[in-house]
Amino acid sequence: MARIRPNPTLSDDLIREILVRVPVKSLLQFQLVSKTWLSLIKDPGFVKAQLRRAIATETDQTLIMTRETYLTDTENATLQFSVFDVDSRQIVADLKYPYTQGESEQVGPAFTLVGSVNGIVCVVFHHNLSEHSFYLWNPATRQSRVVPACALSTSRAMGFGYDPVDDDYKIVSVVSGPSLPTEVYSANRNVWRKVPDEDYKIVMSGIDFLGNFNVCVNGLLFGVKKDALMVFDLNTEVLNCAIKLPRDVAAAIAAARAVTAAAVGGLNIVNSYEAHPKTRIIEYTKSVAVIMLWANALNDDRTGKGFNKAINMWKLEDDSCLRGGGVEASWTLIFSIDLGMPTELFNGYFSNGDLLLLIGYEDYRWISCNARKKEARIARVYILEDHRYTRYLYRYTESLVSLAGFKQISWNRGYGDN
Amino acid sequence: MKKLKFIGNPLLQSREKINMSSDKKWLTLKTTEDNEEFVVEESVAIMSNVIKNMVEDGCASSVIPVPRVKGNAMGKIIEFCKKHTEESDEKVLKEFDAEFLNLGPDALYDLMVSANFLEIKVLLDSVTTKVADMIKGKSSEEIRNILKIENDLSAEEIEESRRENCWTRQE
Repeated sequence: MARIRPNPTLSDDLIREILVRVPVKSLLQFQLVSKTWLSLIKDPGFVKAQLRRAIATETDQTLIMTRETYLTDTENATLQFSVFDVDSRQIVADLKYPYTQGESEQVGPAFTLVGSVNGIVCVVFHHNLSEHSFYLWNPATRQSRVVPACALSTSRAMGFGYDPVDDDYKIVSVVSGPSLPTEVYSANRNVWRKVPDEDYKIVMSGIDFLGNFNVCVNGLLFGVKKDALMVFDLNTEVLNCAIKLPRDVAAAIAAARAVTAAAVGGLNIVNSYEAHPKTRIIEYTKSVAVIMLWANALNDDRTGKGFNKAINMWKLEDDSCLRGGGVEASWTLIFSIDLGMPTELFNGYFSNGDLLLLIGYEDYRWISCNARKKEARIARVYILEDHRYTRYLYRYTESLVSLAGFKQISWNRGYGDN
Repeated sequence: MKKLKFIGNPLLQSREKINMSSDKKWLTLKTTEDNEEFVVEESVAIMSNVIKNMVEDGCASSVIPVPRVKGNAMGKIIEFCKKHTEESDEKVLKEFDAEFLNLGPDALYDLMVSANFLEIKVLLDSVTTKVADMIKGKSSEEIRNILKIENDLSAEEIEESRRENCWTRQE
């Protein structure tokens, strides 16, 4: 490239304007240009500005995803974190691991991807039923740190999110049970804290199964369980399980329960399980939406395999119900599409007007639902044909964010090879 | 010799002369470095925050002096602002910008510095994005050569940076 005319007064603010538009990997290299560039790139204000711009101008959304591995399946498990580009529907990068080479034996292959926000990813490795290691990790800068240990029960919902009020990254663990024991880790304080029972909002009775907190929006973590939303406020650290899902979801669950009750009297038990709706919460235009896959007709449309399913998606009309105060949630049905076949729902992601869903039984496939046209079609996705690979879908934005205590992950040559 | 420039289609110049007495407001911008004058619609000129402030403060009499910006750059800037005032289709503007920024490095540089000085957000955004695209992926050495920056890092700073980010050079 030809030389730009030499100019000793390329002003600092101009350098900033240019660098805030440069990808993270190049920025890491540009730290070697000069003292000015080094201090600029490391400046926390610049890091925030770069992140803000990356999120605002994100035309191409990328997701971080991984295979789910279980303690019972560690022989067959291979560790794999990948970045998936929603637009081109391809894996664009394979990330290695949040720990250094020396630690690889200690962590073992069973893990859960807890969440991803602002370029920081939270992964927990399970050594056994009660010992776990949490890592906070920036894959773009290849830095990470271990979080102090916390005894976790297996039957829990976990979430990772960002509190914009205190500029803090937090991990939440909620255990199922009548009082929902909750522990919160704060990166700023570097300590776990048990949330006192009195801090909870109204908890609906009979909570026995918790999903994970899949979505972090506006400083709130969202999960779904049966017919209620679980909302955890990352700033006040209060858990709210009293926000009801759309009425139709409750009706579907009630209908499914009726089927189950009848199943005792002679219907196929397997089919009664299939009748239960699967619900997922997803991020939708700066708020949240609920997608539900359920049997659209419990009695008549059964094929040999099971109930034909329909996909419904509701958006949350108004955020005010989320902050407590007893405001009732109001949901609007965006679409209802009859898939015309029995299937299982694994996950969903909304991007550019289309809802991408991972569904299937033995043959896992992606379908794309267009809300406006109310149609669903098979989406061509160039990805491994393994559903476990796409169990977690968290939005991922490369950033320079560095948390206190972050260390460089150092490996031998093998780390960077793909 | 003073040059009076109408920006736009020469065929329209006569029509523009007639329109000068209509309700459209016109300004004259004069680059003080090389004494070039540009007659521009006020709505176009105020895309520059600096000029906008001057107009609002009431000090835009007949001729607005513009320091630090050369005539060439001023002409290009006005061309850009005019297009962005007239056109609302995002796609058309995007194509225009791509073509518009097809400049040699010196002209691009002048444009960037001028857009920054005149506080024209849209233009600055386009130019800096283009420059960022041009420098990304280059090594720090190449950057220093292109932008004529002196390497003033200490040996320790270099060593630490290299250690942290050696992987970025291997891939």
